Amino acid sequence: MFYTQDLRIDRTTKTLKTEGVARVISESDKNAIEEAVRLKEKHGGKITVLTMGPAQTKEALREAIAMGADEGYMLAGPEFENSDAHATALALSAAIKKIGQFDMILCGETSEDQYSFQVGPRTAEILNLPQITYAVKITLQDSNILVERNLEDCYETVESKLPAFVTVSREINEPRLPTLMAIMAASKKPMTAWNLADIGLKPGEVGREGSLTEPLRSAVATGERKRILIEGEPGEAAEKLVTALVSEGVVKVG
Amino acid sequence: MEIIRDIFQHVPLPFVIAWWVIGGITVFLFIMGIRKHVRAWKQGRSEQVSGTALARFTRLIYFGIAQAKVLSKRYNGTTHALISIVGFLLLLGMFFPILQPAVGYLGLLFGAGLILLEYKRLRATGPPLETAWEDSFVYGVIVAMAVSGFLMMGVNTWAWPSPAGSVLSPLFEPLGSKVLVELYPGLWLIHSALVFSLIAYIPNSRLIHLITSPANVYYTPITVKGELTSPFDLKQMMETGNFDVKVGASEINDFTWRQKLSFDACTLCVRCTDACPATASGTKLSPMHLILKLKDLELQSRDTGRRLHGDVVDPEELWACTTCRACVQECPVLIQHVEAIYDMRRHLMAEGKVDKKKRDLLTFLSTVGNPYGLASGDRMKWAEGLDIKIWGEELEQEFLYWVGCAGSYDTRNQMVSRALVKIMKAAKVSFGVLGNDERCNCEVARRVGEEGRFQQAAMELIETLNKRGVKKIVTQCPHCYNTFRNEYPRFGGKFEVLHHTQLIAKLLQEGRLRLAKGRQQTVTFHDPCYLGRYNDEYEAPRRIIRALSGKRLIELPRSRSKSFCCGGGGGNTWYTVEGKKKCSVIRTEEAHRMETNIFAAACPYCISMFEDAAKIVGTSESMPVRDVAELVAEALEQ
Repeated sequence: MFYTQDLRIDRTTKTLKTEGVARVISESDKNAIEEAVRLKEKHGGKITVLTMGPAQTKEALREAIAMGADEGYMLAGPEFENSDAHATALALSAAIKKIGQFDMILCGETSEDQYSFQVGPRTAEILNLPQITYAVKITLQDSNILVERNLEDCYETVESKLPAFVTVSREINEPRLPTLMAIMAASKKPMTAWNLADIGLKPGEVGREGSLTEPLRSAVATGERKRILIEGEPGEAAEKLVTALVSEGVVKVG
Repeated sequence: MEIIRDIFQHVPLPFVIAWWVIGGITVFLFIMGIRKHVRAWKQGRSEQVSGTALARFTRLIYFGIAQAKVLSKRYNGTTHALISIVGFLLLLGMFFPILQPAVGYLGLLFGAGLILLEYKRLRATGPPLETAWEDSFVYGVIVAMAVSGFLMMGVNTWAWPSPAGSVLSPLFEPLGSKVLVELYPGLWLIHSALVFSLIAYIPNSRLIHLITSPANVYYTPITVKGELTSPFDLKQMMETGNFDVKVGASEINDFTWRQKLSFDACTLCVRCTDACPATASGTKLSPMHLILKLKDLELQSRDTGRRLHGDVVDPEELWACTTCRACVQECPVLIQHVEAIYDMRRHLMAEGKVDKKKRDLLTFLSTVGNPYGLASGDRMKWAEGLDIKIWGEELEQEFLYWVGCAGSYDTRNQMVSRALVKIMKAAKVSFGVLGNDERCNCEVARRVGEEGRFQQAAMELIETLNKRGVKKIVTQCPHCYNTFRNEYPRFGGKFEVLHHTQLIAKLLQEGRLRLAKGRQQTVTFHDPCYLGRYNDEYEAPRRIIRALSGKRLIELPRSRSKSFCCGGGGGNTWYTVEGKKKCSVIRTEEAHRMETNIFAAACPYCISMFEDAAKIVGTSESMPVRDVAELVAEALEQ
């Protein structure tokens, strides 16, 4: 994804200005890689990383491998650009089928530039896999997994057979940060770039053409702050703050 | 006169035999004991120690023999010199008759040293030095040695004329000369045995520092203070494609033999810990105890399975270090504490064992080129409306003004940047900035242990600067200053670097700034670590303050090389270390006690830290925090 702090909106074309903006791995994707590495450290196995994006994606792939993955594949090329969640899921599932055998597919719950939360679930559907979203804890038990899910106002634990598809939440772990040296050393591990033909898709199935949605307009969301200053002794001020938060409906009581 | 004294004079043969037996055992025990230490050091990594033998020998004379740093604490230093230097001369006096007339007087000095030592211990104010029962044992043996020595002088006045002897001899005269002649060999043997036991005990006690401390003074590399050693050369590795190198210290033997020797050289004098801001602020770090834990680990006789990280050293200790160098500055035997901390930090970094704040910091550096995570395109926002030239826009610009990330993004420090621009414009200094092409030099990445990121940034930045023909750099950040001045030459970046206080002092001296009359105010100046201790620039900021009309400089109790860090160095601006009281608050209170009008500094970290602390201490109004440049800019004639 793009490093969001550097993203600006072009007021005439109403699209994001992405030139010169750094590409980074989405935070929750890092959580997914970290979880995979932890599962591997505990139970053994092999980790394959798959990503889709422009040529700079190679850097991100190397970073992912440096975190502890064994090999990487990337779908790179202009034909993949401007894919929406549907087209992205289609391309990813085609690549996963080509990679072959697996026990579990982990991905972040969402990318932090688009925030669609859809790529994971859509990919799972295409692959016809049991899917568990918003995972905060994954436990492996024989050929099953127990997964705790964050549903905002409650947690739910579900069990599934393997293979399964899991999207992970930010709170699942603290992803490790590979050093630059580790990232450079990772270039020795196998990395494969595939184009459209490699994964058996036809032009028009992905990219803008293959997308089901179309962005009409981009705008900067503005929120006016209320700028309320609560004064008084700490105890007294805290009480006033609580009253204010409750009356605003920000905090629910009981 | 003979050159070497016959020490067996007046001693019957059985005593001589006993002497040789005890001496033989001593030598055996001593050698076996020392071997244990040497073996431990040799298990460390190899290291080619930098600096010529002559330079290191000169330093040994200065710090080891003359004990220059030991003596900087007057009472303890004098006591130490009386016991060590005089003790050594007394030992020589045993063999060389040329020293004989002095032995009696030296003995008195030695005795005085022992009394001063005990007096200090009994009357100690503040926390005492750490002692163990073995220290009392050593002290007891030394006292017994001195007493027996004096008795020998009293008994044997015919061979050893001495002041102590002539005072004591009347006590023994009633015994008659025949008894005295028989008494002497016994005393002689006791005295010798005590000396021998002390020598035999050296390798197993604190006295090992008699060997290790001078050895460490000799072997400590002669380097540039502000430059970190590096475990690899990224450029070379990128060329060869071989990245297999172990970075950092994951276990005790990842330190070099010289570092392991240095841990063994600690004398427990506590000077480092007393000076440490991290200790003072109640964090887990105490530099002396850190070194002692490493020493203990390297000397353990069998493998107890204790791991360096986790069992011995807590990551919190390592992250608490502000890299202010006060410990290294104070250490009388030149132990390099901070270097060891970097080695261990590098390991934590290589393992990815860092918390979110540090991960964010490093991610920000690689994505937007500043540690704040703010948009790279906003770097020049501070300069809006100032009409500042981009470097290369005009021909013959003299200085590249390196604004730094704090000066560019931090709202408080943007004010300093604007002040500096005002000064440079008033003095008609020709300068330009890199604008949005300026990116963090990743000094902070290096200090938290991400060496690769630093070297990559250095390579890119040096290429940019060289390509654009930059020769002179001026910056308000002592950390950037130190990196450009001391660390970039190794990577091919050779620039003339000025800290803004140096430039301003020069402009004042050349009469290029006209200052208006100012109010009568007192100013204290806080020496930034990376300007003072690391680069020995103490005068430039003081010259500036003195040149300001109406301003009177008041020195803080801890100033110049004794300056107490604001708490922001070594990456600590970007994460919180659990402690009791922030360094910045301790320092602000110290300044506040001076009843000064203005609290001045010359570093963006210090300014940020002290601005926050001023809100906690409540001195924002009564003692405003100012960068020296701001004081000058305010005083400029309109």
